[in-house]
Amino acid sequence: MKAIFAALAACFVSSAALAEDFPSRQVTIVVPYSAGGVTDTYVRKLQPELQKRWGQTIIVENKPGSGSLLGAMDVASADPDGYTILVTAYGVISNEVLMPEAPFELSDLSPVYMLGRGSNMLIMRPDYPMDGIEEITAWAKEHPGELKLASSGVGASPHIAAELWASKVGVDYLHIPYQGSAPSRLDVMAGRVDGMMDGVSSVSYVRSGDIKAIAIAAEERHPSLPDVPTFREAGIDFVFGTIFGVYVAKDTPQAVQDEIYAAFDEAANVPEVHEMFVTQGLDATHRTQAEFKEIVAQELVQLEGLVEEGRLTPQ
Amino acid sequence: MDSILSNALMGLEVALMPTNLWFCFLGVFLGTILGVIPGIGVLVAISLLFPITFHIEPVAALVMLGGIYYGTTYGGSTSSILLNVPGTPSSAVACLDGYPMAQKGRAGTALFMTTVASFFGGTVGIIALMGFSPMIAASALKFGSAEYFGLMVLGLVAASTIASGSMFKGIAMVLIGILMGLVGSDVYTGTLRFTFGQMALFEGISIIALAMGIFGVSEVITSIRSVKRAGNADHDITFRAMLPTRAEMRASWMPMIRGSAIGSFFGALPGTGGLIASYMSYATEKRIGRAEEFGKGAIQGVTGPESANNAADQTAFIPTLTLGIPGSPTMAIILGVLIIHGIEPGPMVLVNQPDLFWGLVMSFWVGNLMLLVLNIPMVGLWVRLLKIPFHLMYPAILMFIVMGVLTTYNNVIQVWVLLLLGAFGYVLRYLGFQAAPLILGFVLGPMMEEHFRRTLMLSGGDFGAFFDSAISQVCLGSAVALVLYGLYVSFSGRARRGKAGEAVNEG
Repeated sequence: MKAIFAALAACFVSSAALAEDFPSRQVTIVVPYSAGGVTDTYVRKLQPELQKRWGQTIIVENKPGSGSLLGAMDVASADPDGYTILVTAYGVISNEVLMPEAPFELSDLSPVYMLGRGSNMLIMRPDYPMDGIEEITAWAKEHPGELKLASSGVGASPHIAAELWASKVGVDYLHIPYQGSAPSRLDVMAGRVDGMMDGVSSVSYVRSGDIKAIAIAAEERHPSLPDVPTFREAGIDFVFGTIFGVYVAKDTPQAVQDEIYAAFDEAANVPEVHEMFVTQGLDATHRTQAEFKEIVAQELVQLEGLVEEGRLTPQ
Repeated sequence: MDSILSNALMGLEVALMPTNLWFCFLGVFLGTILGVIPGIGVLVAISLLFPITFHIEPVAALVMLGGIYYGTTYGGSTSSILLNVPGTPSSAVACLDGYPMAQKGRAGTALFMTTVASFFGGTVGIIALMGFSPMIAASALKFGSAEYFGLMVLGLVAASTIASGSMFKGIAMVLIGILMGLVGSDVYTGTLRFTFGQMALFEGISIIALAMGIFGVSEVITSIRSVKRAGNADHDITFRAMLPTRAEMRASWMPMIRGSAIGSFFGALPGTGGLIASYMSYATEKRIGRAEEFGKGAIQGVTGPESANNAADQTAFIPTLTLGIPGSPTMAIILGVLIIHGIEPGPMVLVNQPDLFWGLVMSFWVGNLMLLVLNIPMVGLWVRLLKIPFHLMYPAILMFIVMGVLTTYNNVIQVWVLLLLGAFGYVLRYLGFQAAPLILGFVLGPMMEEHFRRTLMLSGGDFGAFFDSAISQVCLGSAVALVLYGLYVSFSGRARRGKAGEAVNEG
């Protein structure tokens, strides 16, 4: 018993010292999605830059499962020393609201660095009779439950985006979930559903004319799609996109968190990496850790609002 | 036509670059070795080897993965024929007639014809891939949920009626497979089903754990009980023994052509693939040929499905490369590698990176040629590999299986799932149930449910939507016909089997 106390005390004393020479050994970055996904691609781009700064081996561990819960749980329960880092997309936030029974709380993690925010855009089938967002909204209001919007899955960003839009403008639509964005986009192209709140990555299909882009849920128009208006331009205050962020276990010393923040900030701002984020449609504005925490908190409030309205059903 | 030819030439140039040639060889070689080892299938082979590809350039990486992919399929057939142990689920069909051929002392011929049929099917698949890529991409838009549902019903009915043994056992296995497939969260509402509060089951039972457990682990358990089977691999294979007789050659042509056509078609459809294609081809050959010869070493039962399998392996790249829709778990991994290398699969790949697309396509052909050249002299080596005493080989296999599951999921619970399913697989085997329909039900069941419910959502609950298009009418109609035919065979067959038994006794 004494030994344990002694060890604990030693830990507290040495945590400050530890922070200074962090990292002194191999660092593991947990990606809660399979290799090859968007998040994984980003991490693998960042990995060499982080390795350069830290002079330590960085292992990227893919831990897919339960919509990012498995990987997140792993990091939350790891030693809070900064050697196990989580990089994840929106699932970690939406699961908190959608799966309250899961043995994991978002508060077990500390948000450190926000890589960026994507933006969803409303795409419609090529033969859809209307082109303007006002027109579509008006039609959807008159025909509740008739506008068919696809999504890449329950709780995924296209679903949340559609619910948010519907809640903002006060319409009811028919949600048709798919497994992944490729099959849902295909049914939009084939005209089986009316549209979808897709990510900006579908830009190549807009160019080829296979789908039409109606409006984008961003602050500003997207450089690759200068003709597509934002929802705000149409008077709908709707900005939404998935959030790519870096998290560690909540009790990690602040000094270590600061170093992780600085390292990711440096890596993400290497021109080549930054450019990739921008072309992928990511809003990679510089944000402090406090701002990131605030954004996560706001996101939770927004999701809980959808649950209260009965638009999302927690499991 | 001109453009296809010039594209093919450009692709050939890429494929014949020394680095690509080397990685193609490496992939084919490693793939065949892993495929020969019973229990190691394409999925395990790819998940073990694909981290290597992170360090090489995209074209070479894909070429190597492609090599592993069809090398493993080919190797899988080798162990099916020699040991009656399918190295991969899709080569399970090769057991049905390949193993009886080996028992009759025609192992060499079966292996040789497998190689020839693979090459033939692969070539046809590649031609289809080159010519039909744009066309099939366009027709994929015609397949909506209703059409997919019809097609899957047909696939499942076909799988259960062609299971050797009772049709009812086959249907039972399909249904158990569907039930197992439903574990996890429901696509439409996220509701968790049959998970018993276990985190490991939230995402469903993993296909790798299931396939490895039911085929791999149960095989190891069976081998402990029947050590004497080790002698079965003791075939002496000379080049002479490999040559087919003229009659065998003649009997093989049409099945190979039919098999390639069936394979090219099913490979290109997302969700189906080599497994369904080879079963479909087997069923077709059985219907066309004399059904009573099948299961006793009919060469048509080897060459047809084998060419179907390989053709499907090639055309499976069509939806993956042109639409970004992986048709199988293997394709999903390959898709992942593409994205890691910064290539977004979709219609733009053909336009923006023609060297990648055509280089890959031609390297498939070079790889298939390599398989042919590599395997004729090396069949002896594979046979020798199978002569390694089972008491040494099986612990090693078990280790590889566990490693495969661990490297894929990084989760010890999945190893327990694997072992549990292995025990279940052994019980099934003991009771004479076929595992292949179960796997098919497992893979297709959840997809069927998804498409079934989506069809109804889109039609507003109108069941007529299932019969709206010609594609669904044909599929569902054929499924009904197959069931009726199966019933007819199993009832009239009882009488006939009695007579056949007498005939055998007389002979």
